[in-house]
Amino acid sequence: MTASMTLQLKISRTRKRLSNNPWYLPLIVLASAGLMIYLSYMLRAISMAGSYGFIEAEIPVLPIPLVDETLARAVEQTADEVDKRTPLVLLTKEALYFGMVDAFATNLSNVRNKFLIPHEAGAPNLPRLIHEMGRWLDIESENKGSDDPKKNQNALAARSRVAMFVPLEEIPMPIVIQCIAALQGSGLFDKVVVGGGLL
Amino acid sequence: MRDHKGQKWQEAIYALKERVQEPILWFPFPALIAFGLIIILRGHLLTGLNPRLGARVDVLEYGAKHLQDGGIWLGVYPERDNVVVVTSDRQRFSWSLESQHMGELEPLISYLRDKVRREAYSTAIKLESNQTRTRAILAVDQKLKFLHLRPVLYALAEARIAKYGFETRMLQHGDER
Repeated sequence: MTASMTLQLKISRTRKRLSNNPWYLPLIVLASAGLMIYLSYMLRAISMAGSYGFIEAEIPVLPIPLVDETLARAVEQTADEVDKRTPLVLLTKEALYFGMVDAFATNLSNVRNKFLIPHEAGAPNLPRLIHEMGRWLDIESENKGSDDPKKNQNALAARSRVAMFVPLEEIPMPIVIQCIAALQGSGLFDKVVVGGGLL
Repeated sequence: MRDHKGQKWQEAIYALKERVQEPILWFPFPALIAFGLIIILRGHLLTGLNPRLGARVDVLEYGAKHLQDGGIWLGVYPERDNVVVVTSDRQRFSWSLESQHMGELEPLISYLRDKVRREAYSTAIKLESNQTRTRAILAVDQKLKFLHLRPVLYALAEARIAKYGFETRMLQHGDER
């Protein structure tokens, strides 16, 4: 057999092998699909953020004090309390409302015990909410020591570092989370209790 | 002419002989290599490195306080007409988006209670407690509404988990408060 014949034979053999074997095409497709899945995992792994943020919220608990029978007689103290005078922020599709829990529980129709901040271009106007709430809490705090017991109680409540936040059901979660973050970042409150569904 | 035909026949016979004689040993290997890599990465390596990898949760980008310690991580996302909750140890719970029946939450509540109980046991044995261990970290998909998260909050309350929070993706690493 001459050299050219051998070469032609090799070429022919390769061509045959590439064209005639019915397994090659499915195998190539399968391998390509597998590699694509693998690469997508790798891309997801390398594109994931290394650090994450955390926006804290709380669920109120009912304290059940335990009697300490030991000599220490330790008494558990509550960090904060939620009552009818705790500041509350209600988020609806149209506006943000704020006032005390009492204003949304028993005196819902009364327009003089709550404040309304309409949304701006469809989004909650959080800077204005913080500003107006700050002013409201300052005014309430000034009533401390007042002869009127209701004003005095409101003044004590205004010093509370807990806020209730109640979004309506249809509010998207990114907006809920940003509102919680804004209330915490305002410096007015340390804890935000998300109340929707738990009230 | 006859020689040329004879040569062609010879070539064809040689080619057929070669093809039949030589086994093609390498043909399954590209597929096997890809398959093997996927099995290793999916089953052992990547899922163990980061619990967020297997969950299709698209969390909000927001420059919040940096998440230092872990806790009970729950990824919440919609899948067809269901709300799916995945945990860091690959447990999966789901219920209908329109579900009003709290009984569907029982498996999740049991899982959370078990987590809290184990932590309480560990605290008692070690005589040291870490509050962040029983804190729930919720990675909530942006497509969900508050309505869909309420069952999860209910489950947390049932499992006596009072502290929870929402995970956010940091915009940049230096954005830490």
